[in-house]
Amino acid sequence: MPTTMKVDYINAFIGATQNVFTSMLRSQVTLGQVSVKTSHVTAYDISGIIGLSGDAIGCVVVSFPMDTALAAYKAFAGEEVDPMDPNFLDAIGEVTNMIAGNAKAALEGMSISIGLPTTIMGRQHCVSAPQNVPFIVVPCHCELGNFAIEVAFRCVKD
Amino acid sequence: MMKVLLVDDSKVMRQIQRRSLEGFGFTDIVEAGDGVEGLQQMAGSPKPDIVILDWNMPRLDGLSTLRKIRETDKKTIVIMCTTEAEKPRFVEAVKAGVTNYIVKPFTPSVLQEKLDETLTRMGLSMPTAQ
Repeated sequence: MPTTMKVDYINAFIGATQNVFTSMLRSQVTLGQVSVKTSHVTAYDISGIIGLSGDAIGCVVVSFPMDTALAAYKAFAGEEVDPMDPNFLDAIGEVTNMIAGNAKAALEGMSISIGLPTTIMGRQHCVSAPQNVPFIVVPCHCELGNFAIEVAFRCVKD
Repeated sequence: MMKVLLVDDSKVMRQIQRRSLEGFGFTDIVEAGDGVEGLQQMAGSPKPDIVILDWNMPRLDGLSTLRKIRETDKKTIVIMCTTEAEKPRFVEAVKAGVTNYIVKPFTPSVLQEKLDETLTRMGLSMPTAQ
């Protein structure tokens, strides 16, 4: 599996995450140590996933533990929610959508399409990347709790 | 009182937009979960005066919805509210007849500014907030 990714690519997703959390969730994000993903299992139990195509292939996963996801929902929607309410995963998907969209805009000169978000809630679920696509994990922290951004990204021209 | 149509496949996003609009004084607000439902709402009476329209939606996306609206209606205010932030996408929307454009994520004050700017340009004004 490839183990390197251009810093501009991962920075686009980090910047997008910080922008979305600051604007919509009113929460500043700090980053942990970036690393290569070595397992298909996502960092936490609730994930929003968006596929990427066009000049780049891959996906972005925004992964939350339950307490952070519930806090994020409350910050986003202004009210509490039951995790079984469809609006809960809808919000996770929308946050993921905004992060992917913002990152796409930051990757200047690249024509990338993003899919509609998919959301998964379940322990030890797996998300794998297309073959030969580097997959990077960025641990994140904010006032709402810990979460992670996982980015699989390969520019087709690289 | 102006009627606002919110078209977005995210119910939570529509909820957030609704809450902001109610804070600005709008009271007649209807919703649609995709472009097909949006066009159904546009065929209703009274017709919405303002449409806040997402781009990436299932069944019928925002750009296609905008084009359909503009086939018969050049007057309704349509504000695209979307993650599509690149210039070519903006140009596509302008060519299709969008009135204004907001990039997600946005704060309530950005939504208010864009609405105010749009309405002022059309010779209209924001409702008085309650």
